[in-house]
Amino acid sequence: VTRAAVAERRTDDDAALARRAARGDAEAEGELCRAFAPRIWAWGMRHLGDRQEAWDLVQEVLVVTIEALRERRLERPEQIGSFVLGTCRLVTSDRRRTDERRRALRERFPLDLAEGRALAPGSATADFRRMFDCLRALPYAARRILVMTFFEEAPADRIAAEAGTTVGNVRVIRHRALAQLRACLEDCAAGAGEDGK
Amino acid sequence: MNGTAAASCATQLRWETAVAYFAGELPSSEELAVEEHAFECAACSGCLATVAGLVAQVRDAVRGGIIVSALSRASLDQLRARGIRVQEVPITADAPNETTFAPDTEVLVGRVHGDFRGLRRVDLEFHSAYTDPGIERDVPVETADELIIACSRHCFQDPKGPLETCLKIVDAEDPGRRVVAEYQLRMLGQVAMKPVPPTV
Repeated sequence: VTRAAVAERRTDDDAALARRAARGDAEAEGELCRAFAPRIWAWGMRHLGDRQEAWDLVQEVLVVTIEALRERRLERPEQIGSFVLGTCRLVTSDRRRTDERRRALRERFPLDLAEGRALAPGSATADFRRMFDCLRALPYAARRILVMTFFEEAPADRIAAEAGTTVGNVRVIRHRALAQLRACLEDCAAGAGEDGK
Repeated sequence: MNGTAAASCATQLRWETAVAYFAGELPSSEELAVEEHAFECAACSGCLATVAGLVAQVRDAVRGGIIVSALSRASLDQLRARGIRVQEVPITADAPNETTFAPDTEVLVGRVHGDFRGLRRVDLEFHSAYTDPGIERDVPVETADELIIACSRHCFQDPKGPLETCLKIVDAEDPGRRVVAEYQLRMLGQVAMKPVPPTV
């Protein structure tokens, strides 16, 4: 089974879930929320830049999606992905005006996304100590590039100038550093799991 | 995304593309293509969510003062701009530097005064009786008279009394590893641990 085939099957799964949810299947609604929560959250992290704001977005977009399914407003369930993405954009565009509405929606649909959060990659058991150790395993220059990119939001050419290297090299160092960080966190999590057995 | 067709997932979203997406470096057309694809493809959205989670943790780490021991002025300005509670203390070489981690402090910043003229890069060596030395290598020197260091509350979670640290600043470009300056740092009082921030 190829990765592409797996991905395609998952896309089909999304559509199947949407169809079941539209028929009032509560379990399918939950599965759909868990499937889309990480995608919405990732989109929110890119466009809102804040962890909590991104989770607020997840909550609101899922509520709008479930409402649309229940009310049979989503005519083509196979386009559930496009619908959710479009909802992300719409919700974000009028976010400030909807603050009050969001609070009301949360009260109407108190979705428990705790499980969805736990499913988000890189999260489950990452603790402060582990993060500390994994970050400090990276060279200072790599950490500095991560800070300048994702915290200072500096453009690559400025980072390159400060680091005394090329823009291309900054990008390579950056994606390798994140890959190393991911591997370190996963290794630590696996080690912790084995210790716990 | 290297030609990935939406919905078909003929090509997996590449890691470096996902990183560039979160760095805001993709052209808008490619950014839109990545998003459209990710919402249709669970496998690729997983890659995007993984990078998003790491970026969030990097940001948390900066806020917690754990990602780098040396801060640039730009990072310090960003910390303040984002409402992080920064406690600043001057650090000089002529006397022990005593400080307390205030309860509402999120990042403790030391402004290390010294004569750093002619230096381009230094190593910061933190020597403590309780742990192995922590060494931050190849830290760029921004100004001739000051370095900015950041201390994490996490570093002081298990002090057996006042935590004493010797900070040595070493010329990183000197083969003989010349010690430029030495500072005595003394953390007083209980350092209460903050709750671990929620992770994603």
